[in-house]
This record gives sequence, C-alpha cells and structure tokens, in this order.
Amino acid sequence: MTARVGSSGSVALLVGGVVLLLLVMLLALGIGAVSIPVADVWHALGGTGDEQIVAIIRDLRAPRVLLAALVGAGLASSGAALQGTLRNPLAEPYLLGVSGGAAVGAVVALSAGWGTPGVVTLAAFGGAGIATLVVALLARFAGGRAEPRLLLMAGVVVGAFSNAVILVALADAPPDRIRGALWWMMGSTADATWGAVARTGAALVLLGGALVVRARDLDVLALGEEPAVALGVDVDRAARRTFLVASWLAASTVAAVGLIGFVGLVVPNLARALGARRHRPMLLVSAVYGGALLVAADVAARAIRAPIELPLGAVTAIVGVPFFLARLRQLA
Amino acid sequence: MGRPEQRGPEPGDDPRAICTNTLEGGARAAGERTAVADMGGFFPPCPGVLSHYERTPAVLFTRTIALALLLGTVTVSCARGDAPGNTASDTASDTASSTASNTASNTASTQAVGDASSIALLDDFGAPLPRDATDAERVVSLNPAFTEIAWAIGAGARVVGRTSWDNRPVEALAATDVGPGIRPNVEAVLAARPTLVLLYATAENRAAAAALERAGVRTLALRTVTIADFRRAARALGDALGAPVAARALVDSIDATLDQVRAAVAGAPQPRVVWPSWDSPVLVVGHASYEAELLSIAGAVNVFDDREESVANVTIEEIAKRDPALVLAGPDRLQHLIASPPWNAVRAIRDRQVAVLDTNVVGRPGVMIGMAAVSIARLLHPDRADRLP
Repeated sequence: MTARVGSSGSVALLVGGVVLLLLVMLLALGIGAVSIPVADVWHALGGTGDEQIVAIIRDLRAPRVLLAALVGAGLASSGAALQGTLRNPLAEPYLLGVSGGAAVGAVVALSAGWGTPGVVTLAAFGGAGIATLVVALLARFAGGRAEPRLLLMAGVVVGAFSNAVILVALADAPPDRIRGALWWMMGSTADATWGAVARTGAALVLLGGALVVRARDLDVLALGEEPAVALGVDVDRAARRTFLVASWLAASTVAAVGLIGFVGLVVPNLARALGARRHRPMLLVSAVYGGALLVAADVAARAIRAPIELPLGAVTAIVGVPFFLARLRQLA
Repeated sequence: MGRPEQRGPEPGDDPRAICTNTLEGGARAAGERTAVADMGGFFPPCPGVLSHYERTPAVLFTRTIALALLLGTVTVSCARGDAPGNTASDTASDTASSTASNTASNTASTQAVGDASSIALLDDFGAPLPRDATDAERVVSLNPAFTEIAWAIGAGARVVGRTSWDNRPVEALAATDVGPGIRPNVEAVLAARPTLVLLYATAENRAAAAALERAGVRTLALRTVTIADFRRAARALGDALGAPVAARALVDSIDATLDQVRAAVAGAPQPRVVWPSWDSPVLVVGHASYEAELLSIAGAVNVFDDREESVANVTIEEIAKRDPALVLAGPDRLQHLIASPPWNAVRAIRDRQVAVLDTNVVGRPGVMIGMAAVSIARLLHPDRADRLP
C-alpha cells in the first residue's frame, strides 16, 4: 500500500525517476541500428574517435534521445495537469482537440504541397493551438459556469470535427499524401534535429514551468467547485488557463514528433499510483517518468526490427501497458 | 511469411518498381508506389539555382534560433546538475559550428558552379549535382533503380550499401543491406561509411537527406517518373560515379531500342487500353508517367491519357464507360480483377481481353525500359513481333 506519501516520499520518487531517466538515456545513446560500445559513445560525445560514430552519436542519437525525453516529459505533465483540471483520470491532451487540431494543420500543409519539415511543424502547432482555443471558447459560451464536463465535451466535439476534416481532405488525396499523413500521425523521433530539441525544450521550460508554478490552482480545482470558490479561486478562469497551457505544451510535442498516445493518459495515473498526491510533485514525477518511458520506447522502436523503425506511438503503448497493469491494483 | 520489405522487390528497383510489383500484394505497397509516382506537387519541376539560395539562409536562420534556444535549455539542464545537459552543450556548440562551416562551404561551391555555367545543376532536393567522382569513393544507393544504373555503367563496385529492396544485378546484393530506401535508417546508412548517398527524391526522404548532409555525407536525390527523368538520372549518375561516357551510351542504346519499337509498330491499328495499378482505391496509369509513354511507344492508346497525373484515381464505372479494348496488368492483379464481380462491368474484363505484363520488366523506369517497350509491343502487336528488336 502506498496510501500517503509525504513530501520526503515525493522527493525519493523524483530522485529515483531522474536516475532512471539518466540511465535510460545513456543506454539509448548506445543502442540503435549500429551498436556502439559505451566507451565509444563517451568518446563520441566528446568529439573524439571514429568520425562516422561521432556523427551518429552527435547528429542523430543525441538529439533524438533528448527530444524523446522532452516530448515524454511534456506529454506526461500536460496529461497530469489536464486530469487535475477536469477532475477526470481519463482526460489526456489528445482527447481534448490537440491531436485533431495538430493533424488538421499538418494534413493541410501536406495537401498544399508544403512538405518541408519546418512548415509541417509550424502548421501542426498552429492547428493544435487554434483547436484548443476553440475548445476553451466553446466551453465558455456553452456554460458560463465552471464545468469541467463542458471542456471535456467541447474537446471531444472539436476532435471529432477535426477527424472529419482530415478524412474529407484525404478522400481525394493521392495515396502518397495519405501515406505522408499516416506517417506523421504514427509519430516518430527519427527526424530529430537540434532545432526541434531546442524548440521543445523551450516549450517545456516555459509552459511546463508555468504549470509547476501554478500547481496550487490544480490542487484547489481538484477539491471541486464549491471548496475552490470558498478558497477564493476563480475556478472558471483557473481551469481554462491550465487547460490552455497544458494543451499548448502537448501541441509543442506533437509539432516536433507527430502523435504519440498513451504517455499523457497513463503516466500521470502511474505517478498517482506511485504515491504522488499533490500536483507540484505529481507534475514533476510525471515529467521524469514520462521522459524515461518515451526514451525507452524509442529505443525499442528502433532496435526491435532494425534497420526498420516501428511507430513510436504503438511501441509506447506496448512498453507501457505491462508497467501500468502491474500498478493497476493500486489505482483501484 | 517474410516481412513485406523482404518479399518485395522483385520490383526492387526503384521504390516505384517495388510498388508495381508488390502492388499485387499489399496495401502498403500502394502507398509506396504512389509515394514515388505522385510526388510532383511536392517539388518544383526543375529547381533553379535560386532554390538553393533560398534554402541556405533558411537553414542558417533555423540553426541560429536553435542555438540560441538551446543555450537557454542547456543553462536549465546544468542548473539541475544533469550530466547529459553538459554533454548536450558540448555537442550542440560543436554541431552548430561545424554545420555553419559546412553551410558556408556549400554556398561557396554553388556560387562557383553558378559562375561556371548558367544551366540548372541541382538535384531534386536543391543540392548541387556532383560533376565528377570526387565524392564517389563509397556510395550507398537507396534506390534500386539507381543501383542498377550504377552497375550498368560499370560503376557498381563503388556501391557499398543498398536497400533491402534491391534484387539485381546479383553482384549488387553483396553490398551491405541498409534497410528501406524510403524513410531510410540514417544510422544504418552512415554505418556503411558512405561518401555519397543516392536517394529517390520524395518528401519522405528530405529529412534523411538533410541529416546525411549534416553528417558530412554528399547526397544526390532524383525523382524518376518519366523516361526523360530516367535519362536525366542516368546522366547525373554517370557524372557522379565517374562514368559519363558509359552513361551516355546506356541512354543512347535505350533510346535506340525505343525508336526501333516505335518504327516496328508504326501504322498498326492502336488498341485502346487501360493499365490498372491498384484496385482499392482504383488507380490507373495516367498521362505523366513512364508507363503511359511505354504504351504510346508500343502502339497503344491509354484511355486515361487525359488525366494529367502519373497515377489517376478513377472509378470502375468510369473505366466501363471508356470501354477499353484491352486491360493490361501483372498476372496477380489480372486474376484478381477477373474474379471480382464489380470489375466484370468492364467489357474487356468480362470478355477476358487482357494482356499479362511482366512486372519485373515493366515495373520501373530503369535500365530495362527498352526491353519493357519491346515486351509491351509484343503483347499488343504479335503480328509485328519479327520487326521488334
């Protein structure tokens, strides 16, 4: 039983998570289509040793591993914040219009013939940003009162609408565009660049940081509407703001690597099962374990059938489900 | 059951080929075929020198922003005391400086090229075409059609890496298998220690080409949809692999064969045909493709020649309405069409007016394209067989 874990317990959990993340990242640097011994990895990071290995480590694997860690952290903390805001353990960024909006943006860019990675990234982020704004506005005009269910329903409706738009846009598309869209929706870190690492890192620091700083809002929201109002919190505004920040955080990860499910839904629940209760430690624990999970899944995605890469989103679920099942009892 | 990639390529040659063959088999292949056949919209038809200049500042700009943002990220990592954070900063700054110098030198060489000649000397991703074999010491070919051309012009020994899709010539199979040729595994490609990588120019290969260039490997990306594209690719490979004369001879010999086929079928009645390449959705050969050119050379009229695309998305009804006299396809596909009730709305299918194509020969715009024209002409005009080469 991990009924209540005090702040010392959370610290232990966090430190353990950071150690795990670092170990997984080091391991990930050594594993790939080309197997590279640890000593060579170390030298290559320092820029010495075989030129080709230096290129593989520095230009391919290091950005890839870092990007996977950042995306995992972003998705998991976004999920943690949304579950808190909506008081629903099944909430996740992709349920709330982020994935649909991002996919519409990416598909529109691809259909218009702007196939370059930078444009697709920008379009995906723009699409997700617009979709989440629409969700927030819909919820506001539909309700007027703070009501997590309205956000959830608005998110689902916008998501369904986006899917319809994508299907209509792709109905007449030549199959290569359909394939490009499908690739994008499967999610992959294979095209990681230092630029993507920097953008995602900046988003994580800014948006994730904002969530951590405002974690008390989440604690209050989690109490329910009346106690929150009694504590002097503008519930409506706090919920909408957290929703938008968390969604944009997820959107920045989607823009970098495409759609990767599971992490945002399951890791926060796992963090709760591990004993994180209040939202500040929970956001941090979710981020660290989400990062570790995604780096591990990425290693599996590129190693299982090398040199062919498996869709990262699927591998994430395959790697994560047993882990989650082992903890399911504690969730009950 | 093998994996699709292994089963593949009889077609093997270029991704397009793969598809045509594998088409008989799986939905995945349909995507591949189209990936190759229909990329037109993604690329400028003939990138001018300008497009390279457009690219360079964009790259520099991105790098600068990336570096600035990265420094911020790194500061945060260091504050947390993560060892990888430190490594990241070393790596990042080195990468940035080396990339900056690479970009600078690339720009310089392009300018030199621009001065030397006014014709477009860029590949389909906007990189300068190699003018000699300086960078061709170790070549990885990510397009089976290019592998085949390399061997046909006597430069096969330079090819040290190939795709899982390659199937010929047999000698080519001795090269290291680096996996798929579309969305290649860049690590596996680099492990073959290439100095030059040949790619098919589809949008899905752009990121890989960029990553290879960042790692200091020269890339040559070309799209081959029509016979003219094949000629251009053969000449470009001839220059890049140090066999320009052999490449010209290869192109001339193929052109001579095509001319002979044209002459042999001249004046014969031209059957109206359709060439379905996939059945769900229904795709047929359109106007802008080497298949359409082969049909015309071999003395047939493509009933979908009015469709500008290389592969046209049509309906069975439309095919039935246009009422072709003959349906051409590979053996598996034809069998499938004949067994399918909706396709029996097409008179030619109902009456078994079909011609079985050898997909190994007609499946790619490659070195066998002359033979492909001969084989189609033989099917359509058996009475002229003695005049064919």
